Amino acid sequence: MGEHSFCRYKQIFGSLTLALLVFFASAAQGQPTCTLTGTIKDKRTGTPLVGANVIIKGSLLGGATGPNGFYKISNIPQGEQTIVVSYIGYHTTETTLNLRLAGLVGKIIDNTTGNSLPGIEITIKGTDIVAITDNDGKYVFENMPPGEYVLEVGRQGYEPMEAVTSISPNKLDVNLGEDIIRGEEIVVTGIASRTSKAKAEVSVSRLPVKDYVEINTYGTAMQLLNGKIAGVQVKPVSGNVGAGFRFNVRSGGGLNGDGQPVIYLDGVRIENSEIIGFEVGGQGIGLLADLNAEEIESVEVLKGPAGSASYGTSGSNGVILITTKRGNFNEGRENALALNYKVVTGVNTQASKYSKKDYRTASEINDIFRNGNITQNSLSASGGSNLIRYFTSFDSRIEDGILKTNDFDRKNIRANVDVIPSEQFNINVSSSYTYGLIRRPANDNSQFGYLFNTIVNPEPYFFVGGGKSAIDNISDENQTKRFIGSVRAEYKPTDYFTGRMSLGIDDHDFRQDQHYPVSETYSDELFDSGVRNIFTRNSRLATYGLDGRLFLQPSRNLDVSVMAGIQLFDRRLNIFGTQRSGFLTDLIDAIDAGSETILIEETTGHEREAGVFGEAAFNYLDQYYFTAKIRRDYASRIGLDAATILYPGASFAWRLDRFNSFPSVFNLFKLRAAYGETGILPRSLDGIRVLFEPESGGYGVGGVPGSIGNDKIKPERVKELEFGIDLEFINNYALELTYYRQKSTDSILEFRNSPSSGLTVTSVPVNVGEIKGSGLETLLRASLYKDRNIDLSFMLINNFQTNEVTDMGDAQPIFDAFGLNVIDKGLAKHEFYSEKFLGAVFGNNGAYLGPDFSDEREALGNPIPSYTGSLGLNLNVFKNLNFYAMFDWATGHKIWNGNQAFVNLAGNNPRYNLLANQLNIAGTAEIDGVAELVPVNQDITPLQAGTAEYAAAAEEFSGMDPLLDSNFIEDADFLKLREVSVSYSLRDVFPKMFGTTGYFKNVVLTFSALNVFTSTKYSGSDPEVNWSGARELERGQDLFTLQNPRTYNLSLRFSL
Amino acid sequence: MKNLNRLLIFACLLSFSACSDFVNNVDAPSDQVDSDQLNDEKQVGFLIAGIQQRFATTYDYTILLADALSDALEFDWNSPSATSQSLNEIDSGTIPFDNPDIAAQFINIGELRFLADDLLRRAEKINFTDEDLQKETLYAGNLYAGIVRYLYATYNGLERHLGGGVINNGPFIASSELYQLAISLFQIAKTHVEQDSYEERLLNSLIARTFLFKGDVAEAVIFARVGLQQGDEPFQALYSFESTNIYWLEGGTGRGELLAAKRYLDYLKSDPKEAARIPLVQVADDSSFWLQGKYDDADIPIDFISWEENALMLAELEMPNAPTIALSLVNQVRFSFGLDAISNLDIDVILAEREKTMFAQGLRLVDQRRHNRFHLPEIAWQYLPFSEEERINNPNIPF
Repeated sequence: MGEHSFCRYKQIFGSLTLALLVFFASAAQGQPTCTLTGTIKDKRTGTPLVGANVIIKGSLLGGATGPNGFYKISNIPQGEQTIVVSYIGYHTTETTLNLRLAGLVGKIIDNTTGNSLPGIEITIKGTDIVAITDNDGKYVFENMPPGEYVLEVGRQGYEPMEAVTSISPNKLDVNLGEDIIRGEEIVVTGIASRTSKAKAEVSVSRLPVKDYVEINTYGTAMQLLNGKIAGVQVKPVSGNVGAGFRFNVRSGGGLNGDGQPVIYLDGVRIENSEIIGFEVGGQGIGLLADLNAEEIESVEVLKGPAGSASYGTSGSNGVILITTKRGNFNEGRENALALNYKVVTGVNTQASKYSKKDYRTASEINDIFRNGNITQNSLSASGGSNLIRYFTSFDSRIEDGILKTNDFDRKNIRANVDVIPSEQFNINVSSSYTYGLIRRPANDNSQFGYLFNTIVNPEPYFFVGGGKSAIDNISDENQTKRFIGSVRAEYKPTDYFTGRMSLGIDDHDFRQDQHYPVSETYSDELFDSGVRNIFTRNSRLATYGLDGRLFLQPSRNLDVSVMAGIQLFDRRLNIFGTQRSGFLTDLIDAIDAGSETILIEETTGHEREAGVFGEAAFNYLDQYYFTAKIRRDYASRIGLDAATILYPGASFAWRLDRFNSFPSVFNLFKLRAAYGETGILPRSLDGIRVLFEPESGGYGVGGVPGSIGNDKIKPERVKELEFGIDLEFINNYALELTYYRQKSTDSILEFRNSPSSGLTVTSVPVNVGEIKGSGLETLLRASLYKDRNIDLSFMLINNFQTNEVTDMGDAQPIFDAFGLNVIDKGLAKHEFYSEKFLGAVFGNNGAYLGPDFSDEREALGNPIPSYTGSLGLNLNVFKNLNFYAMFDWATGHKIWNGNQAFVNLAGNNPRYNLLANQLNIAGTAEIDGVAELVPVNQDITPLQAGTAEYAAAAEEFSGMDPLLDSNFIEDADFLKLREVSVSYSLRDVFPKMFGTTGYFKNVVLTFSALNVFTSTKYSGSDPEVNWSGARELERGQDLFTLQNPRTYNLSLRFSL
Repeated sequence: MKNLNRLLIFACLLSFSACSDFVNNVDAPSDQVDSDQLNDEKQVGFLIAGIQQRFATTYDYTILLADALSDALEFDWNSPSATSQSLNEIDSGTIPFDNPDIAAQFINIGELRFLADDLLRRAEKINFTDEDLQKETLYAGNLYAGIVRYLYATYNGLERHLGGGVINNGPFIASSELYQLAISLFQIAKTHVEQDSYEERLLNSLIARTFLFKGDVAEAVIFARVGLQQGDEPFQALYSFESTNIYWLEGGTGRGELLAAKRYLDYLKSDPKEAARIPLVQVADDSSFWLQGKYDDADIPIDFISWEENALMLAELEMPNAPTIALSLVNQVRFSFGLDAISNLDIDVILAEREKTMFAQGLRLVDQRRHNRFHLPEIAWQYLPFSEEERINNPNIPF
């Protein structure tokens, strides 16, 4: 009998020879059921795996392994069962066993004659459980729990005897092989489709957020995505805590829209806007800052239309699906409470110092920075039973930015409940409430900004009469209250049909209170009289979904599933803003203490979208996978009446490793191809030709154009074709390679009417553009070394993307507000496009006359990097000590250093000043006045015009001419040590506190750091910033924008 | 199976129809209205107020930039409130087409032109039941349609020394032609006002000024003689704290980017009574920089035309043939400000009186051009250039 027979034979010798066939069984609720136990270990190292899932396929039975990798599942119906063992990072195994009802079965024979002895009474010692042998001498004890038993046998004529025997449970030990490619992970491949990654026909990434937050601390969920998903970069655009993030996804999807992916949280589409309100120079409040990384289980990313076609309009820049943590049910720990508590203390620090060499005011600039404290407390509780599972958490994060007037206080509460009344029906409820308070500093394009006031002029705070205190006392408080909730129900009456229904809401309330106290002086009469601004915004986005999937098996080797569904969105937006000035006291800062209303404005919006979708998926021999999908979308934003748009998609995958003759070196070898279409909606009122709005002024309120539209407008269509290979080989390596091509047609261009038309209050949307893009994404994972004590692995991501606007119709180039970034035919989107610096111009006498530059604008590089990548390294030593580091980089990347132009012009650049003095133009209005503010330095001897030294100085000076934008478009390639962490589990230090002898499952101490080191050619402080925030047309423009901080965290995590 | 197919088709059609109904059933925005809904006499007041509002935002921006380009205002990086490179470019007369202030001015003037012409277009569609309202509508439409053409002709230019404007994506229209169009519109406006009314005198002054700037002094003098009279209120652009006077903001105590030219301080030093015409404000107590103080708050109106300007215009026109009358007109203006009389008059005195009386009203640029007194080199712009946006998006305008 092999390991899987689960029966055991034992003979006992004595006066009687007892032949005992021992089976194990248990009983529950009158049904004959079995128990299964075993141990799950790492195949390579033999290390027990704690937390591996063992489930009985097709049932709700199962559990997770505990200490030493041991598991136990009870109440399993006897008979053939398939046991599925899975663990993150390992290949899932399925083993079919014949679980038999357990008990003690034996036979009593005469040891001398060998005859069977009927009617013999056998008692289990210490109990009154008795069995009597039948005519064949057989006895049976049914439904006995595992354990050791003493059988008492007595009959006249025979010597009484006792026999010791034990009953072992059904047993299955499994050694799991590492799943380097994570092919066993279940990933989303469509709006109502999930499959394992090993079978997925599209490139989809799943990020186990839970694992990352174990070894690092992130301010928001989005912060940790960067560098971990091929083809996706997530960048904070300034160092403000609570600021927005910008996603760069593949080659950027279409031409219009904000280039951002659509985001779902537990099935609810959520707002991904950046709120500006009463601006402070550029940066807004990022709504994604509300998401707490500690409560997230995983994030999945569909990166383009090939994968996101079934999500319909808005999915052209990909779909991000966030799944929050849920309660677990562990066999044997029914109703047991799992508690986790994490406490974090940390500090944000200035990552890049300003140098005296570059700024005369370097010390004053550096003085505005501070170390910002971070405190976070996160408590979660989870557990459940077969019927109900729950996860609930509370998180408080208080974070100070690196500037005095920037901080963030966020509270998150989450409650997720799963109710599973039967195997056929389950309900998932998710709910979260976030309260946030963010104070924003003035910076960027603001004369009240700290950086503007210290960087530009050699006399700090020259532009603010009240000096630094005037800026310190600007108050910009932003309060958010957000509820995100959803209910999903799934009904599976048979194995052939699953129906799902969902509804959810993202309800977000925002209020900004901005105050310029009257007691301060701002060198601006309006602000000098005190200003109070109030901005409120309420958005409510409701998502409704209904779908059903039919599973068919037309033949033994072919599985087919057909799905159809409907999705509805309803979004309401209310915005109100008012501004008053004319305050006489700071003691009362209520807005009615101001005498003059400067602004009062209200905006409402109501939009709806609907989509009907269908999908047919085929799986032949578990080798060939094919899916066809289609979606028909409706939106109130299309034209005057709801037009419809159809989005098709198809995908195919081929598992070559399933062939017996395929080289066994490959655990997985999959080819895949996918095609899909999605779109980007016009703006909400784009379908109406001219809208008038009220404008208030000296004549009362009059009607002026408020919006210029196009009643023929339709969504931009974005098509994508992708090919990929997924490999896992030599047990240690995994490679994912994806090549994609994107093409957008009917691109909606922000077409500017000529000002003489008078219809310029907004741009006119026109479906005239086309853009093409392509790229290659590579992800290589490797387990470099692994034994019982050391585990070294890495993940390398490399991305290439390129795009080109191929058609603009009759539209003229579209520039950002500063005329730097352009959308124009033949250029990549957002290309820097300006007159190119050519050198210095000299007069006949050799005197410098100014810079020479091209007559026409030229392409000067792109703010979106062509190449990006990351390298994550993880080293685990003795199970308890873990090191993690992640580097990321970008090349083919430009940034406009707007700071430097002002610094030069204002005479705050020592080098520029030296050259101006050498050229003898300091303090004069010559050369367009570019040296007018440069102080004359009598110690510097002017160079003689016509000499080589003079010419060299002039060449350098002309290259710093502040009036020529191209002089400040710089290489911004960088290499960053983005994340580093060291974590240590205290289990071995205080063993009595853990496991069966203590209260704790684990206690982990972690030191981590973010944005640790940067190597770049960029002369500014941070190559990743953008002055106008995360959503505007401007890209890669540094204009007095706050650098991203370096962050250190020390955390202690208790698991009970 | 056949029934199942039918059921599925029916379900699909039902869902398509339901989706269409669902997305169409949305609330209209509360803060905007479809333009076509305004073709109603009840909406005329709202539309006229809109034109006036855009007139105010166009006029202040235009004259601020015109004064920056002229020798009336100066940009100086040494001033603590000077931060705008854009205004510096205008002050120096080296103005790139993508100058942001030029872009904003050109957008404003274009929208004013659209709104004025749009009102006249609507007036033809509306069946008025109120004749007075119809007259008021046609008066306002023609008045502002004329004013915007006058503004284009006076302040904007396609080339450095070539003034003119552009209407609705059309070709360049030279100043002289635009002046003529403006005069025609003012004449039409006169047909909708009472005889001998303030409005008629206002229109006569506007026609006179337009003729003067056009160079037709014979016609100008005719209309100036029947223009605004002492005691008439000036025709002004109105502002509020919600829509502030940008001259106050950028050229006054608001943000104070542009300084008053230093000679205005000299005028004050030589005659302190001139403070009535040339109010100045020191940037800081110990500063050598001075701002205009005429618009010392955000809601101070700006004169578009006044009886004083009409008098000085008439003085200039009468001076060659009737110098006594001219002198009397100048002194009439001076007396109204509490200034002493002058006894001699020549063109220099007339121009000085004009720049003092119409201080910070954007007229200095015109006078410098009219009398070849432009202070910048020949290569400098003497008009506010057509913006880059116009040059890019209007195929009839060369880049």
